[in-house]
Amino acid sequence: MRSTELVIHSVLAVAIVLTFYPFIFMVITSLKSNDQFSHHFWSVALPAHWENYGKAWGGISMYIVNSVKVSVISVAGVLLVSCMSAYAFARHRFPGDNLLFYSIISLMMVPGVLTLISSFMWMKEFPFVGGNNWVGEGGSGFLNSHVALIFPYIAGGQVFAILILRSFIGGLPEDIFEAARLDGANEMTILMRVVVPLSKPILSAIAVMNLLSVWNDYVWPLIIISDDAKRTLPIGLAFFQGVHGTTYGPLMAGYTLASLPLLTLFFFAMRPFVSGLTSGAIKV
Amino acid sequence: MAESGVNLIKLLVVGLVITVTVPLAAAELIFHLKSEKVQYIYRVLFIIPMIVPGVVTLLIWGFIYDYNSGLLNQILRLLGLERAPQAWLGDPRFALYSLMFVGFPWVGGFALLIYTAGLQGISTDVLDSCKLDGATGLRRIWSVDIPLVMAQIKLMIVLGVIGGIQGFQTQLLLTDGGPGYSTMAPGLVLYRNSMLYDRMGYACAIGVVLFIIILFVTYINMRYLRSSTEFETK
Repeated sequence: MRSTELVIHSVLAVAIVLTFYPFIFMVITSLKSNDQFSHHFWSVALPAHWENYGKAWGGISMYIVNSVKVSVISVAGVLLVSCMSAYAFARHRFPGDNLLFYSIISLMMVPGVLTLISSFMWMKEFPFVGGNNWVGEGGSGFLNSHVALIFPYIAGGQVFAILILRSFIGGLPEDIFEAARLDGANEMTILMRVVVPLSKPILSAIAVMNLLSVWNDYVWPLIIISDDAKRTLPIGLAFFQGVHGTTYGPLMAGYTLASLPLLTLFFFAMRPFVSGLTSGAIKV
Repeated sequence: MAESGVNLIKLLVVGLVITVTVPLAAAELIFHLKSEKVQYIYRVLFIIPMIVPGVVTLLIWGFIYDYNSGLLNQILRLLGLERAPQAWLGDPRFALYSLMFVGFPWVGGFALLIYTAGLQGISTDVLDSCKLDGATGLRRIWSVDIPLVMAQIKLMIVLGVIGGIQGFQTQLLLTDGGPGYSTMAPGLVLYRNSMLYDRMGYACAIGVVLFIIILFVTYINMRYLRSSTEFETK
């Protein structure tokens, strides 16, 4: 019995070393000058060149700020929209409620590749914005703005969020709602004081799920954003790589810096991350 | 376009084989450890690579394959194989296989989480009766664990197909479909025709075809693959 445990531990240890080695190599290389990189490829080289991080920060801080802005607003938007509509769908009857709910849920069947071009045209030909007239001609609409990232992220993220929130809120006992109404709470108070506190674990999982997908999205910002100053982290990093191609120290320092925000968050909130990742995977 | 379809099928098949073997094996190994605390530590360790932004991981793999100073070629030189180093992503003979190899050893990720959740869902009654019947080790894995996580395996296959059909981010960052068309994918053809060549109609047609394929896969999944676990546990 003990020997099987030992075998398992060694197999897993090998897998972990192989998985992490590229990242460890990244961190080690991030402290090297180009000279150290070519002469001490495998080993840690001294003195450590911390100024690589300064250079990298100068190159990518703007992208990190943009990404933080876009993801925070998008995640907040998803939570706000999905809370309100999930509560309405779960706890209220109104004309056409089922039809509306199923038309929202049916969006889950639409893959991103189908809507890529139409969403792009929609952003480009949005009426009355960016020099467009009322049929959306003449200007560039929302292109090259963070609005064109945030709105579609909210629109896309809310679908799955509404689905799981509605079933959760629907499962809450009716007594709490009755008690709240007897105490004179209006719908907004019920939502903020009863529904939101009770759904906290699910809300945090939804937040993580959306945060990860927005933070990591590459293709959509690539086609929307053209100004360097507006780039989000993934496309900014690819650009940064093009600029620093062979100065590996600052390049790897940039990669390391880009990984830090989410890793820090992960260590502070492990539980919502794990549940957010798991339920995010089930989303089709 | 035809070439991209063939590439897609190759990438899908290899990707699926990897998804149903390596993470499942890892989940089994972790599940067989006695201490729950140790299990938890291993799981967290395998989750961490998922938290690193996908673009960083891909760019690092781009560096690993670099001809002059990439990790892979340096390892080969270290082993004294002076003629082995290749331009892994720049050579049409290797580019597609290099893309398949990205993410080695493929342990972490969603799949591990999903399989672990499946294994933890197996009731202790079943595991206890296994012990009584003397079904341990490989025997138990083969005739109890795998049938009971079949639902998760199928889920991963369906998700893998749906994601794989649409995916082209790896190519976009590492090879741009090249050299030649050796790593071209349908999604990338769509992207290039719409965004670079302004052929919106053609690109939309590709999108619709991909959508129909995905819809078909989803339909098969709902019609035939769901709720097959109850049957298999009997």
